[in-house]
Amino acid sequence: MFKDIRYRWALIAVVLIASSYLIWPTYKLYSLSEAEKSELGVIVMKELRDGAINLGLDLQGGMYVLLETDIPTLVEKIANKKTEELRDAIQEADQRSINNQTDFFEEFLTVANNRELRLFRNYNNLATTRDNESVVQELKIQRDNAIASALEIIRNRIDEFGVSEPTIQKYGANRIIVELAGVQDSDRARNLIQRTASLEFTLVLNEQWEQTLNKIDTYLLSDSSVLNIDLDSPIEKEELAEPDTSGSAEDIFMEENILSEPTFDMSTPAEILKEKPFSGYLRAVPRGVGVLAKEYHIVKEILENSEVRRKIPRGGKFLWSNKFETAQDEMGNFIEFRQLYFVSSDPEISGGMIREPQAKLGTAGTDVSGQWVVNLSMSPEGTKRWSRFTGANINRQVAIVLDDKVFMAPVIRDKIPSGQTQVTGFADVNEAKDMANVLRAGELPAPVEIIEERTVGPSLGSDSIKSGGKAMFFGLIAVMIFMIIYYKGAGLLATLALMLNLIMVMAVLAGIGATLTLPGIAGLILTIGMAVDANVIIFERIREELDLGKTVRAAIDSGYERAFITILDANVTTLIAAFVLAWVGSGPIQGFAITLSTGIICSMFTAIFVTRTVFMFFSDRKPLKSLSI
Amino acid sequence: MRFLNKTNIDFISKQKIAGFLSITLIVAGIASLIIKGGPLLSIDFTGGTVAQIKFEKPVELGHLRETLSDYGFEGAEIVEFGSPDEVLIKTQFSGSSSEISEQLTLALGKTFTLRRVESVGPKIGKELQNDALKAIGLALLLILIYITFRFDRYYALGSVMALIHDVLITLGVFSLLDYEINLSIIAAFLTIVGYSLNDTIVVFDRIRENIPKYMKKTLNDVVNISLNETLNRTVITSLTTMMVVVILFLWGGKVINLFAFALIIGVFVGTYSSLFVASPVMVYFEKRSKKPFRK
Repeated sequence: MFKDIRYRWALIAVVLIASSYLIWPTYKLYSLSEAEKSELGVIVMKELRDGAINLGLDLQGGMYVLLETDIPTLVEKIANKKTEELRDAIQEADQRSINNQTDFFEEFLTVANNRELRLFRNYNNLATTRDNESVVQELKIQRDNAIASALEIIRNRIDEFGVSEPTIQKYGANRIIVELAGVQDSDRARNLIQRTASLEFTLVLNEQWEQTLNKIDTYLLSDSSVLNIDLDSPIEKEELAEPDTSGSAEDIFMEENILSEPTFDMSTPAEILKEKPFSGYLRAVPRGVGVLAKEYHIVKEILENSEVRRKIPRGGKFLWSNKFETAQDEMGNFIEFRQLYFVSSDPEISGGMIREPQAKLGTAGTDVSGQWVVNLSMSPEGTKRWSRFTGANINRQVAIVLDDKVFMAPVIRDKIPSGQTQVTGFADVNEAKDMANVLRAGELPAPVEIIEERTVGPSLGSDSIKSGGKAMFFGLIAVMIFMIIYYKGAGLLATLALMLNLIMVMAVLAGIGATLTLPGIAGLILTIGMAVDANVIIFERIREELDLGKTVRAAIDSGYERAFITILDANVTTLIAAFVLAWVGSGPIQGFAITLSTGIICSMFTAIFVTRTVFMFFSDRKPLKSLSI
Repeated sequence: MRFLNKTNIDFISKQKIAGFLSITLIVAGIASLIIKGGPLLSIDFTGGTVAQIKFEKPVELGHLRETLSDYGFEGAEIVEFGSPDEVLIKTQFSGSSSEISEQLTLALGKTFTLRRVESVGPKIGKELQNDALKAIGLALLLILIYITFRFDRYYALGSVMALIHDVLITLGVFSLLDYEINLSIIAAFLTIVGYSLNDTIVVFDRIRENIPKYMKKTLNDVVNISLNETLNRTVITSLTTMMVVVILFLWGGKVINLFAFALIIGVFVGTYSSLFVASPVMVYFEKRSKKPFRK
């Protein structure tokens, strides 16, 4: 079908349109001013960021941290009988795994077998049969749990980093990568990452809502200085006077059906805030009280005000839930909110007392049959406290709090004398597993250490962008001028193909959500030099064919045909090197490999297909006598 | 416009001179590597910390070294980085960036800004070293397989010898100049591999095409004809690529300076090797084989 020039133009047009479409978010994102960004709101900005090419930490400044769970320490901690022999074996296995670059557990098994240790004696707390192999298997599971829990803990602290989109991901079996763009206080970030997690069970004080809200409202009405910022913020005046939608504190909490009638932008109307400057923001949400995502920072600011804090009754405190949620109100509108709790500031159970949390399917025959639940038990001291506490607070809620964020607040159904506790109400297996990981944060703090850290200051980042951009611009100009001088008309065509190539590469990078790093820019610059190679090969071939006395049309045809095989073979080998780099290499190297290989692949289209189409266009109209080459 | 018209250079007969030149360069590089106890590896591979700091005004390095060694940076390597007011401090000091910042403030007062801190644990260094070697080995192996499959094993031997030649010389130049090898230099090496191969394949492809065309001529002649026919392309492409890497070297910023330098050496050596190493090696092995080169 590509014999027909119309199809060829159509394909080129499609590629151009698709490329423009993919590049649009990138263009938009980086041409916005700060003020325009804040005006667009969180959701639109997130969409833009997702669609745009992101800048790597080396270009925008920030901090990269690689964390590793200290497996030997963990393995020693898990043992319920710690003997000298075990410690020695762990140490030797650790040394061997470092020296031989092998997995710790493999070495541990070998060492244990060599030394004829019977591991089950040290680990009879693990549910295994008696041989060393299954003990090690079980230890691996514990390692996975520990890393999952550490991941959960760090994710939970995301908003404390003050970074718009931190990357927190598992890497290999026991490592975590944390990337914090724009972080300058690396000390604070480090402390946040390494701080020991605090896990608590504490009573939810629903009965104190009303009194507390009234106090804060009254205070805010008497002293408007706290609210200066908030009242000036763009709360749009509603054209329609809304009925009182928020109600008193009691209304909010006890009734489910007072979600405000949908206003245009769902913000709390200013009239309500005049009477209830604090409680006006609170809304009933499926499982309690929530604050709209867009009003979250206002409420947070009020709650952090030192005068306001003094009005909060002793023995209680406000805590946010761990994440934003969406729910549908009765009008069918989706609202995004974060739940707010008022809980006892004197926690009943601390993380150290929780034992063996596990996500399980509810036992058949019970009322949770087929549902996912989390089972846990308690230490002897925990069992005592828990029994007293649950007995005294039946039908009240207890909040499960990790690092001052409420993960869930289940209702106590019954007194739990044995410590054996079952938490229910999970939608699926993932929710249950996440919860088990959160609970593990208290039981077994996984020792994590920073094994690699790279911090780039924002000034260096912007210098790098400037110099990289400059090099790219000069490189492009130099190659273009050279090609036009050397190959005249055909050279001009090659430079157009080169520009199209760069546009396509940008589009692909945006499309696959790649991150542009400094080596990535280097890859782009190298692409400029190498992408014209395809055209050089073709043009040289055409010149040779012309020298042999062929007609223009024949020279073009055989030039492209022969050159294609050459270009393919030559590019495949470069691609092999680039793919290996992308596969084995880490962060910045990957960025380089991705831009280089994308550039090469795109150059096959632009340098061969596009330029040939243009040649066809000219030679189809009237037979060419000569060629500007 | 044309740089070269109908050349007729006898590349193959120059193989003695070329061989001598290549071997001298490689031996010099390897000697330097042996004397210096292997390549100079950056903290990416050895573990350690490197801090890039910028002062308000140019500093005197000797003075800076003295001051810093009194404050826990004994044995630290301090070099100017890009401009006289910017330095790079390389140390085994395994602290966080903030600890280093603190220590530096203690030593120097608030006269500087910390531009970049990289700190790599020894364990990771070893792993990155392994990964780098694995990457280069794997790339060479895959290329060998591809060329054996597309051409034959003599071509594959010729091109891989040329690649090893290129990487050895670049590595040698780095060792002779005391430039250090970091992660991005490994990427540069692999790019050189890809680039040099690109050049070599274009020549090989022409040889493959010309062999049935010139049945009467000897293999030496066919290779020479092919090299001359593709010479224009080889020169032009090397030129455009050289232009961009030199620009990258001059204006790309200090951070990728060494990377660009490696590429300059690589493009130069890669072009040379596809003319004077890859084809002669291929001819040498092809002739020694019992199988005649024309099937």
